[in-house]
Amino acid sequence: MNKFTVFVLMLCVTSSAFSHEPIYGLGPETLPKNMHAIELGTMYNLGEFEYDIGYGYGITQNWTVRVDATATSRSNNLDIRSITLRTKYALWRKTSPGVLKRLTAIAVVKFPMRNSIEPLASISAATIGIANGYESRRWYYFSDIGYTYSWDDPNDRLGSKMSYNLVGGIRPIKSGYLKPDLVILVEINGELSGKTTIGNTNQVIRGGNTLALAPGFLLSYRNIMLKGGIQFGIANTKYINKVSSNGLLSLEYHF
Amino acid sequence: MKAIVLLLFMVSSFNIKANNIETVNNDNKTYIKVWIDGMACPFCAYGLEKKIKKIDGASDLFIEINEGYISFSVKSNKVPSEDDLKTIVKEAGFFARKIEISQTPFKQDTNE
Repeated sequence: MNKFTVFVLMLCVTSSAFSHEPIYGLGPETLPKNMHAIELGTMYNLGEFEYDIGYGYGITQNWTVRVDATATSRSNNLDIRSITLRTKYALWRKTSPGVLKRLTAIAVVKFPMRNSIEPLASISAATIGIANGYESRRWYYFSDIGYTYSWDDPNDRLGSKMSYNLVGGIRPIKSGYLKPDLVILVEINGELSGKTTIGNTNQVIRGGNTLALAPGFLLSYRNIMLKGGIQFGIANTKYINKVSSNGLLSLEYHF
Repeated sequence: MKAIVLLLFMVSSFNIKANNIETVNNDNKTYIKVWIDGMACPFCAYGLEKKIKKIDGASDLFIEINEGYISFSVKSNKVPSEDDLKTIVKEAGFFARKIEISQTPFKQDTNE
């Protein structure tokens, strides 16, 4: 697994989302005012498990903040790779019976852990994005676009990234409030990467475009949600590898 | 004769209503139903449940996702204002389209 792949993986696992929103993409969901949320997640990619623990809080109904810690387990040692802070602000929302439409701005900053054994762990990254969503009792639709800039390593220069995601979802059974609720999602995750230089000019990875397909599910009961997805790389340009197949599963609790 | 029967029926109806009012007064509850816009999923509606339960004396909470309303009861001397209710719903991320207040329970009212 090369350094670049590791970095991509690190970005993926920190794309944790709250509530009914894409598993891999950015989402427009903000928490209700004074709502707390915790999320425990794991991602399996290239024979390795990553773990994520996140805490979120709704400052207002439109403004949510969240912190995540991401770690791997190697040789019985837990290696904390990064701490990620993210905030979301709902710029616009429109409601009608059973329907919620939203447009949300998102900012994410990832701080590396200096003592991590992982290569490229010293690289920080910041993402800004915007996501919109249409949620109804039957159908879901999300789209988002994000820009990630990386810095902070004298030798390794990672190319900037632009991610774009298109997501559709359906609730097969419109269940009642105190019944389990299932939503099935299908995501198309795209990423356009700039040129990356690792170890000064020893290794140059030219930028390119990747496209992945990710079916997923959101299964909730009142304030508990289990969500998961599998992502497959389906296309790439010749200078960049396809997204490696991976799986993600997480449990979210609101209180 | 018809007039007598009609009169007896009216008196009888009045007695039933009077008895109901007396029962409600003994119950000392006011029932509130709020029609919510934007409530698309049960998981999101939990935010509303949490806020409604913080209203002093709130009980009998019922959330009907598919119809798009919630109902609950409060003690009759602690009925929140419509503005308070709208704020509560707004802070949960939704919009209160219509608020109904009644001295008798609304039809339905079980989440089972």
